[in-house]
Amino acid sequence: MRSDTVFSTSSLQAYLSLIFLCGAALAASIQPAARIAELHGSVMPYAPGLFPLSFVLLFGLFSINRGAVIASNAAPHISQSKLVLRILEHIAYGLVLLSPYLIYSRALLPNTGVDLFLLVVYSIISALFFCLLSFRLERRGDHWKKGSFLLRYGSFLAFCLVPFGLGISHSSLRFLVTASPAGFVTQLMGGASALELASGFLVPLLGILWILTRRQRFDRRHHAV
Amino acid sequence: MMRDTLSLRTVAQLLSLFVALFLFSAYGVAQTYLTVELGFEGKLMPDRYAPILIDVHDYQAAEPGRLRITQIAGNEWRGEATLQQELGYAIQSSGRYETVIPVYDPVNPITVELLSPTDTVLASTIVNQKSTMRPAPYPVLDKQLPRFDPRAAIIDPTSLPNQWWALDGVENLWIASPLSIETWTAISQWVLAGGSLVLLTGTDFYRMDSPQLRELLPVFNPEIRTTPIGTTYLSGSHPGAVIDLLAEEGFPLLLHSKYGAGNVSLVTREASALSVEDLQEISISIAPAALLSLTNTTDLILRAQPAVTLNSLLVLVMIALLGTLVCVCALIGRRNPKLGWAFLLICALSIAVSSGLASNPTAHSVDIYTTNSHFYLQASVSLLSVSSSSYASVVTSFNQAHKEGLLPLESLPRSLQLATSFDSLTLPGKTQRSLSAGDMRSWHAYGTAASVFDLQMLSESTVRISNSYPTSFDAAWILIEGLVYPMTDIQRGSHDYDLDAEASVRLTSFLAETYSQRAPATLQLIREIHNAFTLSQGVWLIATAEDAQLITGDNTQKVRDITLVVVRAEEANRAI
Repeated sequence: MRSDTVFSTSSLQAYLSLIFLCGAALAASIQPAARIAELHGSVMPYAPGLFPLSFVLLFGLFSINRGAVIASNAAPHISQSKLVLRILEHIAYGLVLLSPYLIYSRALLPNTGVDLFLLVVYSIISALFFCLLSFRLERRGDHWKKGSFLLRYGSFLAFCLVPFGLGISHSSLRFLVTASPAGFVTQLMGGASALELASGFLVPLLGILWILTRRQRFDRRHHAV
Repeated sequence: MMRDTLSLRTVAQLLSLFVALFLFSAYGVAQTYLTVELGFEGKLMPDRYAPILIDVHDYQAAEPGRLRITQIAGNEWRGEATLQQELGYAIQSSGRYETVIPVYDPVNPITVELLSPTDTVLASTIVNQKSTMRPAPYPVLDKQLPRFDPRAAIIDPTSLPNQWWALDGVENLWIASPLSIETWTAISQWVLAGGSLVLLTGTDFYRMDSPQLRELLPVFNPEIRTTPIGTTYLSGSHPGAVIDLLAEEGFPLLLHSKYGAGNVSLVTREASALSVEDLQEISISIAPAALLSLTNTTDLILRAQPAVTLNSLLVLVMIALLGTLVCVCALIGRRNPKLGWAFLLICALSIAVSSGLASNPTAHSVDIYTTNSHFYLQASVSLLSVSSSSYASVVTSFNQAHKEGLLPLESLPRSLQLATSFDSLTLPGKTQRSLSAGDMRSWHAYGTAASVFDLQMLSESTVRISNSYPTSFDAAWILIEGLVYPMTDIQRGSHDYDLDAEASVRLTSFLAETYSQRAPATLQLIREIHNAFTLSQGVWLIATAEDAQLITGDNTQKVRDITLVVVRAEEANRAI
């Protein structure tokens, strides 16, 4: 059996990790059963935003992992559509598994319906982007016979931190905050504007288009050679 | 020709002068302005209510205007808060408008504005009373009395407001003149709530006499007596009163008795017969007013309330179920991927639906918790005291609804430099305020109330209660000379209730921690009022009702309303 199918042993490990880590984040973001006096006197604020933030980041990491596994198992000239379908299969499997958590966390989000929908759509788009990015970096690493582990996870970290850091460094660059997955979730929880939401969605969408078009050119050149 | 030009020029100049004068005078006539009197003789105390009298001059409009009062509390070091109240008057013409407002920090100027329906300021005035502000309660004296205490305010008692909480900042009220029924009612309500009244009677008694005064007097069957040397004084039987001072000729000069939560002191001689030294000696024995407030107890009740939250244990169950599911799916999916997917979809969606049912956001996402205590006190007069405490679990702005006509007095902390502002705007029937996550706020307000119950003792074991309140009461107790008879509930309308002698307990046991597990919150309120009233004497009816509701909208509010009614049975209604 191929190790990149959703039912493989390596996938099972990834899904189990996703279930346990997201479950732990959900449990931690639930306000402990207490009386109001204890909440009022408590120095540790309860963070309902911990679950959505952890969900998006962990799902991003999961996608990086899946992208690399697909790259090492897929045929060298796998078609664009087949690749995207294979990636979407993993994303869908993960989302179905996490759907009970997402439904349960409705009571933690300020604007339940819209926010949850946006969060799921964003996590699908960003997961697709991270998976494709990871796939491309892994293939490039194989080509140059170099390990791409650090590059894959480093680029994920940079993607999360750089726009966020730039966005909070100056008020004129504030719109960049939502370009980072962490920034997108925090802004969504605080009531993001349409521009902020658009920039949040635009960055992974442009990333997907860029990777797919680059791959087409690479394939054409490869065929020509 | 030259002369004609000159005369024309003179006429034109005269005409323009006339027009200018007319326009100036017309402008002067049309200019609306306000004059304001605040407090008693200008005296007022921070964080207490004070009477305000606003005269609107030269105003006539088709659309009604509103009066808005803006106060600044604090300073640069403490932090500042802007607190505004809109009075519920629809002002269409000049006139006098009086009410009672909460006063926060009179060291800062207070702005009174007349606003048009489109929020344009038509007239405004600034009241600056930092020189007359009092840091502590002060005595208010009838104008018949000399100013024996430099802190005192001297007033014409006929001008006293009819809203009893106007006397919130008063230490004791000295009356030596006849008053209207409305004023006596307001004074009775104030004393019932914890005020301190000094009545100077003597030969003035018959001039002052009224049923309300007789209700307040510490003596029964009052009559004027004269000593052998010709001194006249008020005498009568005084079973429940305490004689504090005796005159040189041996008759009681000063008597005290309790009335509700307050005190009434009777000076048996007329004001004109007392010197400044006499009055100063008497004033030493007068207890200060201490109005009943349930704000602290309401705050405690809110603090003891459990927070609405999701169940973390269910998350652990979900982790276990999903972990098992993914393993089973892997086993099935390796042999038959389609079956694996189908199994996953069915099981995961079943768990998702169950989790959705267990975490209904309307029931589990509460932004603001509020506890309101409505305390109705009914004796010969009735009054209402409302206390409210709120806790916010998220940053939020919200409107808190309250009875129209109430102007809540917010409890402001010493430091106003917290994450959110303490600014508030009170409109008729609601107050707008902002809270940040973890903020706890409280306010109280006073009001008048109609009688809730009519209580009649039909026999030693039967009581007739007429409930005119809009709802029934969940729990009630009849207190007869320190014995508590529990009752099930009190329905609307007039009903006869039997008193179960076997179920009766002593008042001390009733107030003990272990008793009555079914109403611990209301029991805290009853304990609080027990300190102010002598519940162990006479016949009392205590009834409570609780209502909790979830208000959804821009933010979800969990509001708990506790109503406590305490009725003192009239002597005339007691058959036993």
